[in-house]
Amino acid sequence: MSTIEVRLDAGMFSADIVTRAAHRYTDAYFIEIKRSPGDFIVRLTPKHVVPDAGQVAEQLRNDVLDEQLRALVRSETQDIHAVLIEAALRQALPPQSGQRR
Amino acid sequence: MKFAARHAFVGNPGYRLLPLRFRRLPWDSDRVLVTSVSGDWLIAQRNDFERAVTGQLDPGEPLFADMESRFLISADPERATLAPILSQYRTRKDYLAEGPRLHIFVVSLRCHHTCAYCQVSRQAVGQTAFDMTESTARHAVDRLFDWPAKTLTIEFQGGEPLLRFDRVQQLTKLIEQRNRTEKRTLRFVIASTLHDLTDEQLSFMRDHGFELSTSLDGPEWLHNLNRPRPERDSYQRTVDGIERGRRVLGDGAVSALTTLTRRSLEVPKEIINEYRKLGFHSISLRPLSPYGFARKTGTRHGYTIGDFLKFYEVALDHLLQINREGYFLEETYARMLLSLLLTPFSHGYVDLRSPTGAGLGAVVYDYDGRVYPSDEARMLAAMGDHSFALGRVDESIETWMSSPGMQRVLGAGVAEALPTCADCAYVPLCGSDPIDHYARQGDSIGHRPTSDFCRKQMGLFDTLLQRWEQGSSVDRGILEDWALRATRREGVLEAA
Repeated sequence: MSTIEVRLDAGMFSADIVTRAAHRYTDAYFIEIKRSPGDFIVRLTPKHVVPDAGQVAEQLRNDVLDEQLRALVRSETQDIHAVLIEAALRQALPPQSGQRR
Repeated sequence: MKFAARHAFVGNPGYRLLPLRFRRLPWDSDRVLVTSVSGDWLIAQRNDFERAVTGQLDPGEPLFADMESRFLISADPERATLAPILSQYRTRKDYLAEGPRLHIFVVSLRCHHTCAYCQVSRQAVGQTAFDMTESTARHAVDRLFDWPAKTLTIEFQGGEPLLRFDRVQQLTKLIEQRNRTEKRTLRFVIASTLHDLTDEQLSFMRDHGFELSTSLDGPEWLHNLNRPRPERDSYQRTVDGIERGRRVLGDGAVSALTTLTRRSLEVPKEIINEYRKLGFHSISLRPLSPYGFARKTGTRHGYTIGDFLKFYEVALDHLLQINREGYFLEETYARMLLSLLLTPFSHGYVDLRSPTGAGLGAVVYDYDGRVYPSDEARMLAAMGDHSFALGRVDESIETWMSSPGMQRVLGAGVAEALPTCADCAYVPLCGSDPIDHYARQGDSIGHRPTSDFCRKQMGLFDTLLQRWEQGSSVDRGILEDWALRATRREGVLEAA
């Protein structure tokens, strides 16, 4: 079974984003990620016969774009996310005796 | 008195993102499902969504209003309040408020059956050493009322609990006696094959408001194949028990669950038609679990989650067809997932909670006095793995909650913090199942790309969302009806 190689522009995508996207393929593929001067090289070696392997490279490129978008969302919302969850769960707790919410 | 200038009443024209997650739709990769932290959601073109994330959305666009109303963005962030989304989130996680409501009492491991896929370590009918003792029963009742829940569901399980019905009666009376001062709302359920059900047992159940939960795997040939007895009359005994139970307790008090073997996957329509023939209005299509004897015989009876999902799609289409013909018949897991998708409410199903329902939503009191956070943990212990044992009935619930077993559960018990789940659009509607991942993958956190739990959840959410989105108005109405019924029947699935 042949290895699929996908090159991703290291100027556009971080190692974190590439790793997150590649991790989604660890069910059917062994993953190797290498760094060349300008690219990340992702090698996907099938663990067994994969019926739709032809589209894997395109799917991975889409997933990298989606991870890029998720990183943007994270950077803008992680502070408010933490505040929100903490506030919601704090209000869900029963008040301690002598304390008011 | 002078009014402030007009510009003082105009908010900040920009917007900020609120926490959200998204997923490309498998049936249309140009569109995405976008969910808020509390599980409200919309479907948008991916290009439009990308413009929203990168700050290019115009306040005059319909998508802007839609995202704002679902708390995916906050227009005028300096003036906006987070109170509504806090309220939504608390409503969705309402199950956290009172601690475990489902309490499973295993009164005996004995059973008539020799089912090859049995999920527990059943014992032969004569092996009375595997029955719960009176002392254990009394301690378990004391612990039951140590929990704060205002509503307590008590499920009697086995083995076959009817083989030790005197213990069921004693426990029921002890619980009711204690409840005269506790004033909780009690709900009794017995999970039984209903074989050898006597009139005296039924009278007792009627007098104490019991519900019956049994197993019916489909048509006679399949049920008898799955659940062999020497007399080869397993199906007939169960059907007789269902009819007698309905006569005494009422139609609504008897429910049935289906366990799916590999043979079952070949006949989805036959299984559903059997439920219709017997007058059921609910069916539960459950894949086999990797526990107990089920794991030992997995190669013979097992199948992949992919196989199950193909089966489920055919079954769902057939159920929709039956409903279109005017006969109401719902699938209970679909009902639960649809209620999560289509309503803002919480639910009583312990397997779909985050933080996990194991130990926080349910407790199991085993025949020998050991206590577990879930039935699956008990099954693992029966196989010799006590990783999730909480303690014994004569210890305090505080001891159980601080036990190494409970710490293992809690360490992997928040879905939103698990690798891959953290970014999943379905996570606000999903749950964590650390014991299932431990059983299947040897690690309570688990590896999501190869997780059967994750594949099942994602596959069913996708299937239901696609059917709802692309179905006819009649089919949408049927699925919405299932979802709304779930909100009125909170807790029914707890006992499943």
